[in-house]
Amino acid sequence: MTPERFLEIVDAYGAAARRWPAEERAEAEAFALNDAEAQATLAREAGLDRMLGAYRIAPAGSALTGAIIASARPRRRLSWAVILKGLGIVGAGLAGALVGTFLMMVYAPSTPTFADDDQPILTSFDVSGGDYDLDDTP
Amino acid sequence: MTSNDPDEALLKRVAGGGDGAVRDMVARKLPRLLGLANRLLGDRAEAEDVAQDVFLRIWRQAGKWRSGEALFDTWIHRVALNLCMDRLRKRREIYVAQPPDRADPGPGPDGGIAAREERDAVKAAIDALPDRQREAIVLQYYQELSNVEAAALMGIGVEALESLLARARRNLRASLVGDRP
Repeated sequence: MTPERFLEIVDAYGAAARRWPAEERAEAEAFALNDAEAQATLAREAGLDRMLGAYRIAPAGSALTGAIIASARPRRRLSWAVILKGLGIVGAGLAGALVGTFLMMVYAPSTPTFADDDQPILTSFDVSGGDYDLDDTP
Repeated sequence: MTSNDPDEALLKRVAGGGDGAVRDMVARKLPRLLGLANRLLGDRAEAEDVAQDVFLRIWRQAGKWRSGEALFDTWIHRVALNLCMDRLRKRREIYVAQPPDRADPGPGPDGGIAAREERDAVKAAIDALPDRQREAIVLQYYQELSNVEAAALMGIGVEALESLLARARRNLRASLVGDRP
C-alpha cells in the first residue's frame, strides 16, 4: 500500500474501513496504523462521514406499506395455488352433495303408490243399506 | 446446488402467494428502496411512487425469477435506479427556474432542532450534486454496496466510480464544512 493509494481510497470511500475495497482493506488498515498523515486524513474524512450519516430517511408510513402489500393481491388471485384452493372448496361441496343424495336414496322411506299396491282398497262406500236406496217410493 | 442469494428463499415464498411472505419482503426491502429513491430524487412523494413501482415489478417477477443470473438485491437496485433516472430526466425536460417546494418528512420532534438542521444541510448538499456524483455516493455510502456492485449498476468501471466518489466527497465537504473543492 502506497501513501498515494491510501489517500485515493479514503478520498473516495471515506474513513470507515468496511466501505473500502475488499481486496485492499487489510493492507490499507495496516498502513493507517503506522502513518501519522494517514491518521489525519482518516480523522478529516470521519467528520464528513458523520455529517453524511445525519441524512436519515423517515421510515415508510402505514399507508404506503399497506398500499404495497395490497398491490400484491391481484397477482395472488391469479396464482395456481389460489385457483387450486378454490377448486378444492368447490370439489368438497360437490362431494358433500353427492354423499347426501346417496344417503337419502338408501335410508329415506319409499313413498307408496297405488300402481304397485297389492293390498285391498280400504276406503269404499257401502251402498247395501237403505240409506242409499235410490228407489224414491215411500 | 445451493444459491448464494440471501433473498431467494423469500422470493420463492412470495411466488407461492403467502401473505406473510409479502409482508416479509416489504419489511426487508422497502426501507432500502425508499432510502435510495428518496436520496436520489430528493422528493418523498416521488420516492414513494418509485418504491411502489419497484414492488409491482417484484410481484410480477417473483414466479419467474431465475437464480444464478443476478442477485435479487442488485436487480431491485437496478430497477429503482432506472426509474429514478427516468424521473430526473423528465424533471430536467420540464425544468423551471424556481424549484417546487418539497415536503419531506425528516426526523420527528424527538430528533431535535440541531439534528434537523444538520440533516437538511446534508440533504441540500446531496441534492446539489451532479446526478452521477449523487448516484455514486448514494449507492456506495448510503446503500453500502461494494465498489464492484455500485460500478456495475452505474455501467462504469471501478476507477471511474472512485473518481466520481472523490469529487462528490470534495463537493460535499465544500458545501458542509466550507472547504474548497
